Amino acid sequence: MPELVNPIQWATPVFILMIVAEMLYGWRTGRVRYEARDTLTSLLMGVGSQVAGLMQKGVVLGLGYWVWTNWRVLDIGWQWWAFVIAFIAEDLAYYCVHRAGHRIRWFWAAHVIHHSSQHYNLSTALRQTWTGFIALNFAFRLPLFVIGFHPLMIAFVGALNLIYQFWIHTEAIVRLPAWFEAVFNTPSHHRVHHAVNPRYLDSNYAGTLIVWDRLFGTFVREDPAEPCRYGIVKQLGTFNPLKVAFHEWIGILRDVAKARSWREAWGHVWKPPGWRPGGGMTSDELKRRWQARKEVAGGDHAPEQASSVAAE
Amino acid sequence: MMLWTFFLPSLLAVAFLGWLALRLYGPNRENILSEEAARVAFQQDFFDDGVDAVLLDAPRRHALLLLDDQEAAGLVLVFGDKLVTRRLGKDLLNTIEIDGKRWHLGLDDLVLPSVTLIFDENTTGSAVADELRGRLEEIAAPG
Repeated sequence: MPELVNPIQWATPVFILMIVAEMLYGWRTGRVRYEARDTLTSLLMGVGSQVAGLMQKGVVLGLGYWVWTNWRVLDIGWQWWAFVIAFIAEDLAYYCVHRAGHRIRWFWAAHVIHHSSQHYNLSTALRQTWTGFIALNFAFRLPLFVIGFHPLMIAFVGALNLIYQFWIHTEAIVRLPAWFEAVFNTPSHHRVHHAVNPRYLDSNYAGTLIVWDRLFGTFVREDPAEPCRYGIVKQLGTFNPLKVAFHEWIGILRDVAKARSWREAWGHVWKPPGWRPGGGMTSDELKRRWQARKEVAGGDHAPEQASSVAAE
Repeated sequence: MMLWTFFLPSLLAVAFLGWLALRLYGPNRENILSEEAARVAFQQDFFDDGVDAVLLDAPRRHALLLLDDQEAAGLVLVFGDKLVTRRLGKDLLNTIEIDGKRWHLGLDDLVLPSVTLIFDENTTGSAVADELRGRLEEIAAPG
């Protein structure tokens, strides 16, 4: 077994330098915007996520080893091509966990943190969950160990996948060559993923390869005529990292406590975010209403297109 | 001790980047809401609602919106350099306390539990303010 380094440890200084470079670029050109408290919150969420990651690492790897030792179907070695296949397989697992993270409130409670900034810059990439372990996100990787990929190999390629996703959190890059946009996740595709415009909601779940979205029908192209508005449907009114980290979990607990039946309680946990007994405002409902309104208005775009930037 | 050594560089980097963002982009203390900006921001998020009137508070950091839906009101507030909107219905607005020019709204919202608006005298005496006050008190009333 080769000795694998932790790529994130090596990438972190590069992340910091890139954030500094983007801040300076935005300051000079006005094409990227940072806000001090928002940035600080994102970075603290990033540090907290690393702490949480360290605390859970042993359990997750241990479980991975146990599954790999007792249940694996194939003996996949450490050849170079095994890393390539593992990367692609892990990217597919990421697509699945990410899609669940938007479509099921239980997983959304962990993932919402990453979307909770109204800014879209490199610091947003570091605004990561503290509670992925509680959500049991790692369960989506278990099939990879059953196939026969070594847990350390999956941890390694998973880290590479995360590193790839850092640089796409920027407005500084508009478009990349068509062949690249066709195969890989790019800043343009991922801006759409972070947007709350109804037409962009619940799309582009890819980690590295955008082909998964094209395959599974969740790909939406960025439309220059409709600039992305970032964040979540119900924007946060706080920079408090603890509230950012736990607000949706607390929301679930409150809703379950108030539920009038087991069925309702189940719905509050496992239905899409925004679901309420008798309806609510899920992203599907929001899109349906927006579509209906668009058809009445007879246009391709929402009636009002204005930036939500306050300084106007 | 080991954990502290491990995370000290991260915390120093966070402090440095926070400082740099503040130096380059400023503290964002603009008083920046106009009636039109508040209306557009609200209708981007709640596109089914018609807005009849907008009431800006004196520092122009909050706006209340009179909606065509009689059972709700709109709220827009400045948050950092962005705006946050809420649709104040029975499920969200818990209390309203009015103390002269100061309106304090208590919300059932973990990430925005309360909002205080301070109006000038001309605004609080207006017909729109009267109507909004009545509507908010009705929404917040128990039952």
